[in-house]
Amino acid sequence: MANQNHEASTAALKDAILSFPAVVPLLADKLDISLSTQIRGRRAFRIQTDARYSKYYTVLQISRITA
Amino acid sequence: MPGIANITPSCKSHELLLSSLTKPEAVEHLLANLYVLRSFSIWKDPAYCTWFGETVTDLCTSNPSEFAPTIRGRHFLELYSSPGPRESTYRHVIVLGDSFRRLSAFLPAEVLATKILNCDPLPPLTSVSQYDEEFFRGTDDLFVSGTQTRREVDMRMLRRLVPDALLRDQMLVMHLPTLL
Repeated sequence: MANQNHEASTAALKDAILSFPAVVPLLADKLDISLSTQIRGRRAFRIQTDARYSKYYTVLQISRITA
Repeated sequence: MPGIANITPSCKSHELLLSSLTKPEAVEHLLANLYVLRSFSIWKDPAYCTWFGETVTDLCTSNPSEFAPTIRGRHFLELYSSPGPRESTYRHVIVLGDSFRRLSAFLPAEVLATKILNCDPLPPLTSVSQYDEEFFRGTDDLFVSGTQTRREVDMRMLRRLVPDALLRDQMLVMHLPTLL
């Protein structure tokens, strides 16, 4: 039976957003969808630009030097 | 490094907080980027854009605090806490090449530092051999001796085709550049 209100698809989309929130800000930016500052400010929607491993190692090395 | 000893402990811990992405989390962000790059064209339809924006807003209104982790999200992080699936993802990004270079920011330093061969990008951790000097030891000699054998066979054939030594030598001199 066709669901005219798209309840099933909306529920699936909500589950996807909750499971993989990192996609939300990236997709919103790519599609020029404006979300409120409050929504964009959520921790789950923070954009990460890199894995920051190099920085992490640098800090570890600094700790070793200064220890 | 000059001045490094002047960094205060609070500053150092701040840096550590900034760099708190775990390896599975980094894969999550990497694949999120890859998903958007590959599927945003499907989402471009204005009706889908509206649906997406409204659903995100709805979800945030009904969950005023931060989202609780879902089972799917947890399973994902569990899967990528093993090195095997992580390495496969890194290998995939490497094979994608230049057009996806930006994604290499999500690869760990040890992977970026690995010497990559196009024929064997990022060998699996379980690999028993690598294409290194040890692997190719002796192959140069094989090539040289192979060439010599080939030349001897060619000369024997030429002697049968052109029995006249003088004519044969003239031919060789004339075609020496191509024969060599």
